[in-house]
Amino acid sequence: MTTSTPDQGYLAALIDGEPGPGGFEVAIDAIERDAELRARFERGLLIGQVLRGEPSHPAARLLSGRVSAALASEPVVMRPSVRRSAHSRRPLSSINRPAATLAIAASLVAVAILVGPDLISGGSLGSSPKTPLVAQGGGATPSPETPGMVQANPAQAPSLAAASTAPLVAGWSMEEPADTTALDALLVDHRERASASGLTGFIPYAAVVGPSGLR
Amino acid sequence: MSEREVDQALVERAQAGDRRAFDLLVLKYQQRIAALIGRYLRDSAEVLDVTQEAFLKAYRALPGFRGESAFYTWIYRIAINTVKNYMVAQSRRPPGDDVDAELAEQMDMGAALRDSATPEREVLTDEIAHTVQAALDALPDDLRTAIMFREIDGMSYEEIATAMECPIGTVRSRIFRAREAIDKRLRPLLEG
Repeated sequence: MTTSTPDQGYLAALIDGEPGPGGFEVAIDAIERDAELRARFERGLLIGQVLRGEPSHPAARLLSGRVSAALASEPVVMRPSVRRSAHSRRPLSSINRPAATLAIAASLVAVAILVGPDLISGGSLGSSPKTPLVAQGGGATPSPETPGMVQANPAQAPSLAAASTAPLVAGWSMEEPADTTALDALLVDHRERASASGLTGFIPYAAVVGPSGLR
Repeated sequence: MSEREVDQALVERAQAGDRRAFDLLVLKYQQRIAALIGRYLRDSAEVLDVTQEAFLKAYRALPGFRGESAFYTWIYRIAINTVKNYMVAQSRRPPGDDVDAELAEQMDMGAALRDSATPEREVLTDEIAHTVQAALDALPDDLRTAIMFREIDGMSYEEIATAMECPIGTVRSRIFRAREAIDKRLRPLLEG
């Protein structure tokens, strides 16, 4: 006879570790629910112990009921790490997709606001420097196009490297006539652009008024 | 699936809050743990009390069990500590150095320990053994061979199927029927 019944599979799974087609979890569920199946499971284990000559204690059959009754008044044990690991297996995208999307969109908008005007104004003026800009005093030569800024001299690479930690931009110097003139022109330019674009506040001002080397 | 894997699955269920999974672990090991504690204590009532306490301690400590050792090895250590503490509390001298839990597991459940079985307990244990043996002897050859391969030789269903030249489903059925036949004789004795 080879016809398999559910009980055969459940007991084989729990006693012998040989789950049938239903699987191990189904067997545990079935034995947990069915008191008669649990009793057969218990006697099946005892038969194995006796056949192997292992010691047993006849009165121990009372234990499971006593332990179960005692546990009824105990708080249920939970293993926090198991629960955390169950959460950690969830893909990130399924945790809070709307919030993640919103955060990414906000980041892109912020980058566009901060970087966009610089790119636009730099492109329109055509003054984007092609050579790296460094602070004065590193053995480099002043650039006539960018007051206060210098162009790197490739022949003096070591000193340029040493100067790379210095601030990239020197501030406006109001004692320089060229700076004063340039600043006046930029302020006028800013007023015109601000009224035309409708933008107010720091961002349009920072985009328009600044050393030309940054635009 | 090894016995250890079965236990680990039950432990994980119990750790997730499934108390009935822990009940199954108690069912599975109550005889062995009680027999172990019975080597220290003669009185059956004491054996049951201390065994129960060991299982309760194990349940409370279950969140910290990480499966680095077999569940049985773990609860064996808890049981030994529980019975030793109990004997100290009762002003009785516990046995000196215990055999190592894993070593004891391999060496017939700590045979180095003193066996303090009472005559009544020995009678019942003998009666159970004789009943099981008589039922085994009465089995048809194919059933007896299958259950002995499994229980005594520890062979998997696949190995038994190969040895007996039959499908695994037949092995499963033979072992199940063999247990049912033995259980039919054993049940009145245990419930009587």
